[in-house]
Parts: sequence; C-alpha cells; structure tokens
Amino acid sequence: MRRSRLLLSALALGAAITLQPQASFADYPDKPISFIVPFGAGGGFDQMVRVLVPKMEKHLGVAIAIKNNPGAGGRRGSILLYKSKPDGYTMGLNYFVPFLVDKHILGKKPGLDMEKVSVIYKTSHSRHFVFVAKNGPYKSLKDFTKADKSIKFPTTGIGASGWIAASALGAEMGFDSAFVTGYKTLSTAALAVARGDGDAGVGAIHHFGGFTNEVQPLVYLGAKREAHYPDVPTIAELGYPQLTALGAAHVLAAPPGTPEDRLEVLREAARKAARDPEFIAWGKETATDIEPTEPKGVWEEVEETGKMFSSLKPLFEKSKN
Amino acid sequence: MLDAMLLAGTRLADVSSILMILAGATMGVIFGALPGLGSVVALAIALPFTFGMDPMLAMFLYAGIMSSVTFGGSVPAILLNTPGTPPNAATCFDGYPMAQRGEGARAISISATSCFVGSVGGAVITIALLPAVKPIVFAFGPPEFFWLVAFGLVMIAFAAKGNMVKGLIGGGVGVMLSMIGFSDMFGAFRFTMGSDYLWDGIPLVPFVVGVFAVSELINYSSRGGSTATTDVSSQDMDWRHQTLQGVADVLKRPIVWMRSAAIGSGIGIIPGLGGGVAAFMSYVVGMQRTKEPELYGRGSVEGIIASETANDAKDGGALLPTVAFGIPGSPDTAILLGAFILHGLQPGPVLLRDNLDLVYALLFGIVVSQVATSGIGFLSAPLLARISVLKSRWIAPFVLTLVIVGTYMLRANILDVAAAITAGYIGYVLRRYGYPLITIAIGFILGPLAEKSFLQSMLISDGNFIIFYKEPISLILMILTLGTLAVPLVSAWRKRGQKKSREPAPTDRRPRGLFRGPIICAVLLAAAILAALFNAQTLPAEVQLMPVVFGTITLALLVLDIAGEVSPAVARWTAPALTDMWNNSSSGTDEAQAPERPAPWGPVLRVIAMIATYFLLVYTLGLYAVPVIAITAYLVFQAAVKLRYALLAAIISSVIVVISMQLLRVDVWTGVVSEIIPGYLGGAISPDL
Repeated sequence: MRRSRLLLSALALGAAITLQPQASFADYPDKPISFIVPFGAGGGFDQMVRVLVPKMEKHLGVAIAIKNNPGAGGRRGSILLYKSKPDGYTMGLNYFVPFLVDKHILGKKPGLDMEKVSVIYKTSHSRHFVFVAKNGPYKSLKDFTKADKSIKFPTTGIGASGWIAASALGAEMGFDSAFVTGYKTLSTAALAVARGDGDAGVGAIHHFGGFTNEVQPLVYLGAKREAHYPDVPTIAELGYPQLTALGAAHVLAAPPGTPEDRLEVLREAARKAARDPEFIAWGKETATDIEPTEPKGVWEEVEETGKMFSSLKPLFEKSKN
Repeated sequence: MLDAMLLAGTRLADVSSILMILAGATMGVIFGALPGLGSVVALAIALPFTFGMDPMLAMFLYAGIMSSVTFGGSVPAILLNTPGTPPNAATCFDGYPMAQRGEGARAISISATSCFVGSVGGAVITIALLPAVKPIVFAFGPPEFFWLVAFGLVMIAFAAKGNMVKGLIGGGVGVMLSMIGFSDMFGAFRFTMGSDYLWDGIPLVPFVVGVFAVSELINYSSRGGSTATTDVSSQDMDWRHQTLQGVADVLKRPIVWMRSAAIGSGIGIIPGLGGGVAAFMSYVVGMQRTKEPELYGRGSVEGIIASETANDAKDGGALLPTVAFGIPGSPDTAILLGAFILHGLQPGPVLLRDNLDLVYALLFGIVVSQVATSGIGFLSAPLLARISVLKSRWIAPFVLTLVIVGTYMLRANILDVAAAITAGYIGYVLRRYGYPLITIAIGFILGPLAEKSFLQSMLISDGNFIIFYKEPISLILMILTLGTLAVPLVSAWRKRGQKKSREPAPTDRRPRGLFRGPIICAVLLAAAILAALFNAQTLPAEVQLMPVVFGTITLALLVLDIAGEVSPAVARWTAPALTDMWNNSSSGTDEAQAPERPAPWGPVLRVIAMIATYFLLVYTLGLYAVPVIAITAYLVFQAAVKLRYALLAAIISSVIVVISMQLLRVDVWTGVVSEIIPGYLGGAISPDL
C-alpha cells in the first residue's frame, strides 16, 4: 500500500517534470538569468536586488546571477543592459534618472533610447527626507520661504539626487536654493549639515540617522508617512504630490525587443517577489517604500519626472553662471 | 564599556567565531593579493551570505576580511611591483627593490609584522579615541581637510629624490591626470574629450596597477634577467632566516611603526581620505623624519614599515566614524555600513549605546584576524619569495595575465584593462626619463581631494578666505604646512655662500643634441599640458581653477627642465639648488631614480607591441581563448620552454583564472567578435568609449 503510494507520487512527479515543457510558457526559463545592477556592490540598489533576487529565483526555478556594473552615475550598467541580447536571459535595474538628467538638465544626448527599454516591473522606491540642524533657525519647510537669503544645501553634486530634490523643492515652494557640492556621499553631506557647513540636507534615514542628536527631519518626500518618523509630514500632505516622484525608483527592465511572453514570466515572478513577506520586512527595516507598480504606472512616473526636470534646467544653467 | 568589551571577548573565545575570522582572513589575503580585487569586492561577496546570520559572527567575518586584505596586497607589490590594492603602491618603492636584492622573504615578513603591529596599534588607538570621536570628526570640515591635503602635496617636494624639478613635474602630471572626468561639483565635463569612459575620470585601480606593474613589466622584460638582480639564485638564499630577520627589523624600530600607526589611524578616522592617503602620507613623513633618507626607494626597511603599518592601522580608525555616525571612513567601511543596515543596525549614537559589543567584536576580530594573517605571511614568505629569483621571461606572461584579469574583474569592464596598459606605457616613459612614480601617484591621489576641499570651503564661506584660518585646527595645519614648505627655503638662504666651495658638480657626460629622449619627453608633456590649459578656458571658472594653477606651475617647471637638459649650466644651477634645499642629497642627476641603464628602445618597443597585441587579442577573442595560446606562444618562442611544459603552465593558469571568475560570478569576457561558441567565444558587448 505504502509502496504503491510512493510509486504513484513518483509517477506524478515524473509526469509533472515531463509535462512542464508543454505548459503555456514553453520551456522558458531553462538556464540561469543574468541580472545587471548599474551600481557597485553593497549600495542601496544592490542591497535591494540581493534581497529581491532569491524570491524571484524561487518563482522562476532558475538561478539569477547578479552582475554589478557601476559607473557614470548608473548610466554604464543601464546601457549595458540596453545593449544585451533580448532573449529574456538578461535583465536588470534600469535607472531612468541619470538619462532624464542628461536629456532635460545637462542637455546631453542620453546613452540609450529610454522609450525602447522593456520595462518589467517596479518593486520599490527609495525616498528622502529634508532635514535641518536642530539648533538652526528653520523649524519647518515654510521657514525656508520666509528666509531672506538662499537656503544652502551641502550635497554630492550638481545633477545628483540631492541637488535635484532641493532644486525642485525650491522651484515649487518658492525659495532660493544654494549648494555646497562635492561631498562624497549623502552621509558625508549629512555630517556637513550637522557640523554647520550649510542649512539643510536631503537624504534617507541611513544617511542622517547617525546624527539624530544634531539634525531633525522636516518633511518626507513621499506620499505616505515613513514609519520611523510618524510625526514628520509628507510632501504630498503639504500640497506637492508631484514631488513624490523624486528619489530612486527600483525599476526592473530587460533589453529592448525581449519577447513579451518572456517579459510576462519575469513580471509575474517580480510581482510575487515584491509581495513576499521578507521583502516587505526588508522595506520596513531600511525605510524603503515597497511600491509594486505595473509598466504603465512606471512610464507615467518617467514622464512626470521628465517634466519636473525640464523645469530645473534654468536653475542648472544659473548654477554654472 | 567594560561589559561590552567582556561580552565581545567572550564571544571571541568560541570555535565558530574563530573559524569565521579564519575564513575571513584567508579570503582577504587572496583577494588582496589579486591586483584589482580588494576588500570592497571581498566584503560585497560575503555580504549576502551573512544575511540572517548572528550579527556578531557576521562582524567577525567582516573583520577577518578587512584586516587581511592589506597584507595580501603587499605580497605582489613586493615580489612583482604589482600593488594588490592601491594603498600597497607605497610598498612597491622599498619592498620591490628589497626583493630585487634577493631579500623577498625578509620584505614579506616585514610587511606581515608591520600589518600586525599596525592593526594592534590601530585598534588600541581606536578604543582610546572612541569617546572623543564626535569632536574629532566634527572638527574636520573642508578647510581642515584642505590643509591636510596641502600638507601631503607639499611632501611631494620631499618625496622627489634626485632631481627636484622632475619630481615636482611628476606631481603636477599626477594632479593633471586626476582632473580628467565629469566634475559633479559644478556639472561640467573636464578633459573627457567626449569619451563616456572618462566620465568618472581615470579609475584608480587600473591607474595604479598600470603605472607600477605594467611599467615594471616593460622594464624587466626589455632588459632580461630576473626580478632579483642576476647574481642572486635561490640556492644561496636562507629564506627562513630572512623571515625571522624581518620580524626583528620591525620590532627594533618601535618609533617608526608607532608613528606610522598613529598617522594611519588618524587618517582613517577622517572620512574621505582612505588607505592610499594613509600609506603615502606615512611613507613621505617617514622619509622626512628618517636618519637614512638615502635608503628610501632603494629597499629601506623603514619604508615598508611606514606604508604597511599605516595602511593596516587605518582600518581601526575608519571604523570610528562608521559606527558613530554611519559615515564610512574608507570604501570597505562603506560596505560594512551596508552590512550594519542589513542586520537592522543603524550606526549612530544609539548603536554606540546599545551595540557597543559589536564594535569591540569588530576591533578584536581585526586583531585576531591579523594574528592569522601574519601567520600565513610567515609560513608562506619563504615559498613566495622564490618567485623573485625566477627568470623574468618566465614570469612576464603570467604577470601580464594577472594584470589583465585583475583589472577586468573589478568592474567587469574591458576598457579598464586598456586604461591600465596605457597608464603603464605612460608610466614607463616618465620613469625612464627620471620623473619619479611616487610623486605621480601622490599627485593623482591628492589632486581631487585638494580641489574639492578648497572649492567647498569657498562655497561655505561665500568666497571669504578667512575660513582657511578661522578655526584653531585649520590655523595650526596651515602653519604646519607653510612652515614645512618654508624651513628648507630659510635654511638655504642662511647657508647661502657657504656651499659655494662644495665639490664641483659632476661633469655631465650625457650626449648632447636637441632630439634626445629626455627633451622629446619633456616637450611632449609640455604640449599636453598646454593643450589642457587651452581646453580649460572653455570651462566654468571654478572647474578650471585647479587645472590652470597646477598646469601653469608644471609648465613652468617643464621649461626649467628642458632648459636644464639643453644647457648643462642651467641644470647645474637649478636641479641641485632645489634638490639640496629639501633633502640634503648632493646629487642632481637622475641616478637615484635609474640605478640601472634602461634597455635600448628596440627591445622596449617590442615588449610594448607584445603587450598591445595580447590586449587586442583578449579584446576580440576573450579570456577563454587567448591566455592559453598567448602564454604558450610566449613561453615557447621567447623563453625557449618546451612546448608541453609551456602548454601545461598556460592551461593551469587559465583554468585558475576562469574558475576564480566564475566563483565571483563575473562574466568571463568572451571577446567582441560575433558569437562563435555561445558563452565561450565571441558575442561580448564592449562598453562605450
């Protein structure tokens, strides 16, 4: 009895294995998939991928190899992904922001044709806070607009995320933003705020969290309040919902021309992975907004961001004198 | 505090902890020894495996890796003049000459001992400074940073032995090369010539590996012989005795290593300076303080101690701002920061209050790992040192393969290999004509730091120079820097007239004429700098400031240099006068830099062509196909090795290369020809130039 049951289940298993290829998705995927991360190992993007990928592997049934390809502010890796073979065995993160910066702010031809990118799915979005020194004169964002001088932001560089956020905020709310650039990371920029090199900073909790005695956040650049700082208002609450597109969207993509049925297989795996309890727990821990979004929503965001960036072009020209 | 120490200590006395540290140490030594790879890659690979692991155990693994990489990186620096990680470049200056003398084991042993005293010293200093970390980190803003870097740049004058003018030119060339790239401070492309590859500037690792390893490869391959000078053979060597001697060398010089450990951990604490600055700063300070400056650069024991002790001590120091504020003091602590966050720990005051035991665990782990690492060092020194007495024609193809694979693996970018080789060509020509590599390296590392800190200070103060001496620390650093610069000038002025009677300058027997190597080289350099100066005119004012200042000074020095080459009278006047002022060495010739006559250009060009061919073959046909053929061909035709041995050696080394790349999950480069064997030959995409 027992043996026959064993035999039966073995048969069923065998049938399941042999029948698999006849399933609707043919035999894709049947070999490891490469995942290109356009940033170095250990950074924010990379960590997200390293948490997400095992969940995707579980649903796809094949290994996914992570390849870090950093350089040029995320451009190099995204371009490599763009140029890879569109057979469904190469996917990665496509970071749209630097290309939007090239197109709308730097006035440089982007290294890839953004519209052609095969968007798979957006899993999450890393957003920033605006913070000030505790002993400084600014107690709310409103105070920025009342100041009779420009608000000085220590940040990494012109065209980088901190500069974009502060410029966009100033443009929308009506205050002048000035910059002390050249800090290596947003964490060193946060130290600069704590030390008094400038008035205000832009960064995530892991950037300014070491200075909780010296700095305090004024606003979260998101739509929902961040769990670590439930008393800090969101930029949407303050009446600027368009600014929630700032920050780093984690968009999974594949090279242009990847067959739609294969994209759908990957998309389904991403959908499930983004809803995995462990992934959600990681989002809570690291203050990353988990935001499962279908391609349509991603394209809308890209367009919104592009529009916002175009309005920053005059500020960029001004900063170059 | 004591509780936390005790807790960390108890956890350390556990088999799994020790095993973890050992695993980290082994991994670190290997990653350090491979040029291109370093602690950043090793930590990043280990990171995902520690997810879900007990945080304390994970810290032990990280500590094991971090502290052992520096020693690993010193081994190829000593034996092959190939720094395993950029900070080890400072070890090349004395480690390699020592190996050339046949004292490779002694040098490795000095390095291992220095690393040990360095990490112990660094850990002790770090524990002592833990309560004071906030005032220290907060005190170092851009103006203080600027003076510190300016001090380093002033030290170039002391580092330039032999011909002062050429030394300073080398520093200027290093600074100018470091200016290439997108200036994100002001959003402008500088000297990138439209190349996307140069967006981030010339990458540090390929630059350092190229300038040191490739230029030396050209040097010894064109000359023949072995790394060690020809009269040394393995039979005569008592490698074991050398190993013991190396330990004694370090222990006998407590002042040197204590000073180096203090410099290293001090620089480690200040975020943004890093291991390269620590090692070079310690080296040049050592050079200035020593009683035997003439030995520096020629196999000085002190030189290796200075560089390696500081390099290891910085790990402890760099931990402080990382745990106290979440600001990494070095690239590896940046990864460590990611690890903290992955384990749900937010560095900052809370971590110092609630998780102090983890901080001690890291520090203790660093020390224990260093015990293991030094053990590996002492055991392997006698074996490894044999490499330096092998004939260069045997090792050359393997070193080149190591350079190609190492620089490729770091970012999986084949153009990095081209960058390393180009840097090697330039480095070879420059050192051949007496421009010392040390000043080029210091300029390249410090240039961008000087520019950033200066411009940031000006942005903070809205253009008011008072910021540079307003605070006590910046004032002290300014006096120190300007004083260091002025003391030799003053003493030279006071001694004027006295020295007139010194021995007549050695009669210059070099050939005359305008179309000689040194003159052509200087003229080409001047032309390149002139072109940069013209190009800079199109840039925003802030972006052109630094290159214009340094370019103009370098150009003026080059004019002096050319004049000296053309007319011996000028040379007698300029070179020794400037040189004497700073380092009391009486010789104004290039002798110190070029102890041996360089090979004639014929063999040199042949080696250069061979290296280029090897790269082009790799570029088109990939890393699976080319190394086996290239190494075999070289060994058979150039080194007269029997075909079957050559093939065996080539296959073994290629298999090691491929396996290590697969372990690291790096895509093995398959070459740009259209796909022939999928996944093995052809079909790779070259990054944009």
